[in-house]
Amino acid sequence: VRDEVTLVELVDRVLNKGVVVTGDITLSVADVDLVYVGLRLLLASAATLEGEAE
Amino acid sequence: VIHLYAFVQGLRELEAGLQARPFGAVVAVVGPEEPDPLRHGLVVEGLLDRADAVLPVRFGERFAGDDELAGAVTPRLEALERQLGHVSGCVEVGVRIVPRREASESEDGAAYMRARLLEQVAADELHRELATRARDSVRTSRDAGYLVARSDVDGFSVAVERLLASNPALDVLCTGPWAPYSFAAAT
Repeated sequence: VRDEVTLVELVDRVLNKGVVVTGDITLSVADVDLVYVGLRLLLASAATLEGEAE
Repeated sequence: VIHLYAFVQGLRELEAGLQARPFGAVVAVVGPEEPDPLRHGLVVEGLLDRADAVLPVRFGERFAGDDELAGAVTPRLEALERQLGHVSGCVEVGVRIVPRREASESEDGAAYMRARLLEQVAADELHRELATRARDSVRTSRDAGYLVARSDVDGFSVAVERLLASNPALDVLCTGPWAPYSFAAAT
């Protein structure tokens, strides 16, 4: 469990924090990065699959 | 394509496949490939052991070539150097308040509010104590990041445990040490 937490945390950090030196980093809708939205959907669907498998 | 991972100072070595691009006292760590977010994160964490100061760059900073990179970095050198000085010798420790299940599942509204209030008071106290031990700190409602000297990480962890022992109202997830993302502001 600990490693999974760390992995999600790590990806969350690189997508949401850190120095930006260019004006536009990713396409965004209402300030929400699409890459990030995509990741959340992916996590949500993995969790849903897991729930269905049980 | 040039992918930007981090800015560093006091770089001792670089893992294969990465390159250092010096801009005066600031060194940009770049790579020729576009990594996925996980790889980007692992590269940045790997730099912690190889440089004195690591200022992480958010995933997705890519440039067509060296000229474009220089054009983006050069006007920001002063701010980058200041931020590198701030995080030098430090790592980030994350402290996240984990909501209690019994409180969130309670059907009694008053009991829920009481539990939330207790959690809030305890979290404020925890943050106050930890912030005094750190060089810097940032906090949102349930998440806090602390900029801690590498040499003090163990001492800091002990302090977290000691404070938690006296704070039965809190469940906490402590993570790190990380590269100091929370102290790397957009410039």
